[in-house]
Amino acid sequence: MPNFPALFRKVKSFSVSIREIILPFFLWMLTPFLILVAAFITNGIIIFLFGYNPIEAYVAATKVTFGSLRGVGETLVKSTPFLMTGLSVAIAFRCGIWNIGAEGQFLIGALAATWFGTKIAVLLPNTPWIAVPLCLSMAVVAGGLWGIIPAVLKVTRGVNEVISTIMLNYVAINFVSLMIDGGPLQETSKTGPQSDPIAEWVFLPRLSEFLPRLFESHRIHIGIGIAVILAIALTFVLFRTTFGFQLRAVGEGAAAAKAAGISIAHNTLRVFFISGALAGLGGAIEIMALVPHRLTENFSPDYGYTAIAVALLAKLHPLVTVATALLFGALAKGSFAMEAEVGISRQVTLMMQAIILLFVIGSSAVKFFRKRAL
Amino acid sequence: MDIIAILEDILAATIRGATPLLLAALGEVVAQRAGVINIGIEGMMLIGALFGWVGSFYFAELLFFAPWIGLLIAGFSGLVTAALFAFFAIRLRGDQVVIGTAITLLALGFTEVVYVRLFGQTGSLQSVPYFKQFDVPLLSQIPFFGDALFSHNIIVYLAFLLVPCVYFFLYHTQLGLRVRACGEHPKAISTVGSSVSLLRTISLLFAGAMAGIGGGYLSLADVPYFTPGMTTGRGFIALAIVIFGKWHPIKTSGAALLFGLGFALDNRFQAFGWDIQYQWFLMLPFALCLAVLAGFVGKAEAPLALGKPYDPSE
Repeated sequence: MPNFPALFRKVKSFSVSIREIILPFFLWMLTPFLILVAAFITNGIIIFLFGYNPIEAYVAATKVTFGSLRGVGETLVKSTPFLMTGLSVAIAFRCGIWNIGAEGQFLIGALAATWFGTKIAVLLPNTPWIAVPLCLSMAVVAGGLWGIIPAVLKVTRGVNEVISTIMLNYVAINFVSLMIDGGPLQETSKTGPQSDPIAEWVFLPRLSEFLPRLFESHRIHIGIGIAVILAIALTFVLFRTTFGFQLRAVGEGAAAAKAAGISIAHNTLRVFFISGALAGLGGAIEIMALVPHRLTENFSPDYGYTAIAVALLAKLHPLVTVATALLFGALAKGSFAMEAEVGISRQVTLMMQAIILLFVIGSSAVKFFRKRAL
Repeated sequence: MDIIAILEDILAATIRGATPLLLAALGEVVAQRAGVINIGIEGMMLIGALFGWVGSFYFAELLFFAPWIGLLIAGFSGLVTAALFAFFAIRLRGDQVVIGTAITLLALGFTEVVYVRLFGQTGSLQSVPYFKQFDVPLLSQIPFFGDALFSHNIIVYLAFLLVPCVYFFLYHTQLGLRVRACGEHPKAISTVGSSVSLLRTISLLFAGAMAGIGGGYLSLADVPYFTPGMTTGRGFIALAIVIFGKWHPIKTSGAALLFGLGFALDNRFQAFGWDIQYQWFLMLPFALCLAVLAGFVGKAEAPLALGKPYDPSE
């Protein structure tokens, strides 16, 4: 005979969980979803006004991104830099820090990885088990330190981080150019503005090395796994640790947090380091995982700025960022198909990102959505 | 080349390079003085560059007037972009940093889509009527300075004439005083019965139009054609210039010249075979801006209410 009271309690608790957990979650997810729908429609109308067929364009983009295993793999590969920089922005914005510098931190991370992969790795020949983690941590430290600069300026001199991070982006862009165009990291043949490829044993392993039949010549690499694990870890840190609590408290209201004894300066420094480190790691993963494995000019197609859209659309939640990064990766991948089949410039994705951002702003101005914001 | 000719060349290039930066920065000074931080200048310049060039392209039969119409359209398109900014930043009180980023991304995508629509993927460079060199009578006859200072296209002179105008407006008119008060203490402006939203919107529209004209300069005077992404960060340099110029129109023009010098030198360094990498000069403006912000090169005081949306109910 079944234990009816216990079963009843279970059913009841299940219905409670629907009411208290699942339903609010769907309501919480409603805003990003509606924003996306609205952005796709708006963008479609603009595409239509330009005389292209938006439905044809979207179908072409979807087919190439999710239509095959290879397409999904490519989408994952494309979304990794969006995820890394998106996480970087999300964690900073959570703390009320307007880090617009993911672009520069990404580049500095890539630069560090290139330096390690071309100059230092030769000292450790054929030792991927040492070289790869060392190279990644090099990028983490470099990106983090680059992120610390605006933090120090803010804490000690009261410099607004929006402006300082924008300026540092351009310092980083020109510094990279300095290094690879006439500088010490330029390729040995000195022909173009690019570095040598990094040493082979610093490459990130690909899935095709472990499952050659299933993933033959796919570009899926373990950097994607690293990024997703980091997203999960950051969720834990944000919502289940004292540090995460302090960080969010500063973001919600610096004055109240300060009154509660939380050090704003400490948090600013720590968050900026983590934020920079994440973006830097993203840059290193791109260098170490993807052909041609070298640093070139225009290495980042505005990842750092797109990251703001990625993070805000995800309501600054690290786990949701995985989903939005995937979407932006799909957009990046799909844009090539749109260009090839419909003829519209693939930079239309930048327009799409901007429309998403504007809808995010617009939605937070509407009361219904504001209650559900963040 | 003798040293005089080199100096003359560098001075002339400095002024030409500074002009688009100055145009955009003058607008930004007014906007920031009103309390709006517009980091979408880059986008507005790009939009202006595209539409200015498109305007001159379609009105090419008017020959002399074509670039003027182009410049007008450039300014207007910048103004429309700024109106979009104003709607989100002032009407909806959204975050100005996010909106500025969105405007820049929007312009980067939009201009490229339009360009490809008009001229296809390969897009051969279409030359349009542009602003020709205009030697100021008499003044251009002065040795050395004549060629360096008074043999430019007309926009260069107009841009530098605007500097005292903006200065006069901000510091010697009642409206200018109110604009500045908007950026320092918006509540005070509300209290005396002026509309903070209106003042900020007007300032922002002015900034947009100026950025558009600055962009138009690039595609109508600097070179007679448009290429996607041709502003190459000049909008952000204009932002740096405003800070370096400490939110003051005259100091801003000095800063624009300094940064123009950076451009002039970087173009010429390799030609002279000097053994310094030109990227140092490209990096300098941004590093200097950081130094100014940190107070190592005199203290810069940003307008108090800069970047803060004004909510009258607070």
